[in-house]
Amino acid sequence: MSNRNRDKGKRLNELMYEKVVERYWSAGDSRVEGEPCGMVLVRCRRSFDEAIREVRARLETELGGPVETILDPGGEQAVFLPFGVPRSRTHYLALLAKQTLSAYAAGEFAVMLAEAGEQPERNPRVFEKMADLFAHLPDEPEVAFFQEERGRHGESHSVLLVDGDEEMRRYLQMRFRMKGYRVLAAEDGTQGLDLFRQEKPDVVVTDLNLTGMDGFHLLTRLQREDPDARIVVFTDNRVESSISKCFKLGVADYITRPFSPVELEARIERLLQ
Amino acid sequence: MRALLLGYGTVAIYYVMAVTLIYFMILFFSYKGVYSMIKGAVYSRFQSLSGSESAPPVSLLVPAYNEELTIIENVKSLLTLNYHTYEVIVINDGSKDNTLQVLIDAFQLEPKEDEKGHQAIECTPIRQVYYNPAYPTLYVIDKPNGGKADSLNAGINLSHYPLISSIDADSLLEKDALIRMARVYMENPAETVAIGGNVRIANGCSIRDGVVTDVRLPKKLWPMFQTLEYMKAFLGGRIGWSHINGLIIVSGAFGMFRKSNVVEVGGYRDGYPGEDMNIIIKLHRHMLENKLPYRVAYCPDAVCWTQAPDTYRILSSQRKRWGRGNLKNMWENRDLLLRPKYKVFGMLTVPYNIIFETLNPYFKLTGLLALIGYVAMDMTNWKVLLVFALINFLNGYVLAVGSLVLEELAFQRYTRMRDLVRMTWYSALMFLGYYQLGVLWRLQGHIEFLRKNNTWGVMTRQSWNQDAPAVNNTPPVATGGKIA
Repeated sequence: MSNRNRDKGKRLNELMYEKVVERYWSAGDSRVEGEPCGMVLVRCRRSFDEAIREVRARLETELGGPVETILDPGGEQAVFLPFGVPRSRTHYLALLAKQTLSAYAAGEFAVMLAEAGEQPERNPRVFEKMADLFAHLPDEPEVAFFQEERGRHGESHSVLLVDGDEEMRRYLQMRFRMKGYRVLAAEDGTQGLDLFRQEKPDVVVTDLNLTGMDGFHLLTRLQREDPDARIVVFTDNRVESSISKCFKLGVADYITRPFSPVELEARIERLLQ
Repeated sequence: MRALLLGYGTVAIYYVMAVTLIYFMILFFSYKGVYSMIKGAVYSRFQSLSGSESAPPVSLLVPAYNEELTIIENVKSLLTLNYHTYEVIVINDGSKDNTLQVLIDAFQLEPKEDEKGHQAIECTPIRQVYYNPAYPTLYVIDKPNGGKADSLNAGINLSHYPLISSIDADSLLEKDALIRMARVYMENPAETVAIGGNVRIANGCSIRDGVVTDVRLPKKLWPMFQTLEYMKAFLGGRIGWSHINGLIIVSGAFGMFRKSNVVEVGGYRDGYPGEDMNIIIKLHRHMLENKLPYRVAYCPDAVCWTQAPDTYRILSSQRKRWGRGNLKNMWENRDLLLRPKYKVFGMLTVPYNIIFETLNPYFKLTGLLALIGYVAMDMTNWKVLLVFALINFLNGYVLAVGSLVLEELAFQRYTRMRDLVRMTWYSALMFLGYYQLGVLWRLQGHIEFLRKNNTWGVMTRQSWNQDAPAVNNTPPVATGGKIA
């Protein structure tokens, strides 16, 4: 807890920035170059010290070594910096943190997953934005994702996901978010169509087997709304006539299950370029 | 007189013993069937099958007569089944209400001139086929009134796929029902000519967007009895009969057939109730006479939810109709009886149906008269009577509970403890009146048959929304008569 006294007056983002710079620049160590820099931001409004100690212990056990920890002088937030740990693993750490925190302060905590980019050229403004965003993040038992702005327009791409299977939705939602997309999820055709109208997503990923409205009809309606809509059909249906029918209805791609998430993501990415 | 009564008593005892034996045998086969089904389910992944080319395309035939209140919701639900290639053919059988118009409005249908359907089977000429390319799987046929069988025949004539499935317009299919049936079909595609589905009673369940979301037992008495009755018939009976390939009926509410065979036997019979039993008998007869290997299968996990009549008047009318249909079918096919050529069907199914189903009311009635005779002539004492009654009750109760256990083993649709207790309790209650009423209705059906009453009887329809809680509390309650 000595950090807290020494760093009085500094804000969380400044502390984070310092640590990262210290690690990647001051050391002058070539080994750390190109190394990923995962971050788990946590906020806990109840029994903070105890909870953070517990989370830290859990992460250290998981990683088998010490984890750089920064405590916010404000006393409610902390950041763990598992240096060199790839993003997928950091996500797991965030989930562990979430689990631990929900035992200590159910409903009064927040967890955010971030990373400082692959280049050790760290922009202090990114940290500022990250800390800001985290401070405004409502308390919720889900891991939030921080994404550096992409593209020239400073906007991330949006993907509308229409699938009746909740597990599938959650899985893809998580993966797409990690890719930095804004994800809109709909469980049936009607909801999907509504979201499409409201949000104008860049890509639609839809199943053919839906409740409420059948998949082919949804495709027709989406086409009618926007003839240029980029639609990926993602379905169990492997029948040739269905595939050709979909392409006739103007879909951009057709991916069958069982599927490779990497392939699905690559195909979506290609559509977005 | 005494000798006569004694003789009757002996016959009756053998009768009761035989029927009990058959019941238990069938229940045993049901358990065997369910056991292999549970084991098989571990290995079959129907989800993946639902998109595979190897599952054959299916034409769903939906005859509709005066169904304006429920038809839209049902068609919408049918259009979103989990199956790769199928079509829904709604046959408007000259409805007197706006069934056709509500369909046209809801799906923006337009007349399709190039589709008239070829005349594979004789049926009333159709007026028009309606279609909308935006709903590529939906066809609506408009034709003058000709009855349910005639409508199904018209649907067969238009259908484009090798399998057909008949569905009542007042029933809701579960999303996976078709693919589960197709799985059974694909176990033996060369020999399967028909597959029956499991019909369950939806009264009391919550229904949203044409999907049964919360399974509950009905609150009213009549549907409650029917729920148990259906469970007993479908699970305790039909699984077993299908296990020995002796199934005599595939419910008209939900069954699947190979079209080529249905066309071979001339389609559905016209102008009389009992067409669902009739088509199966014809299929058995056709396959056996031509010495073709075949099976009539049953798929208990392909579920169709239907509305049960909830008033005495409608229920009795339905049961009288069933009685008529059964008698007519048995009378027309009496030549199958005990002919070794017809194998299990001729040697067991038909005799069982004639002796224990069709003639059941007469045995019950004479039994009652004989009982009066025994008491009047002082040939009995109350202890023996009581023992007989008790044995009889226990037999029946064990059979009923046996079906309940089967349900809980394999399907577990009713999850609440309260519902289980209620089911066990009502299974016993059914012996006090409900079974006796069944006998009475069947007898009345026979009387109607002899009077040559060929009508369908009354059937009223209620909007599905009525059961859905808190959606709107002022549902339109249908009273459209279904007289075909």
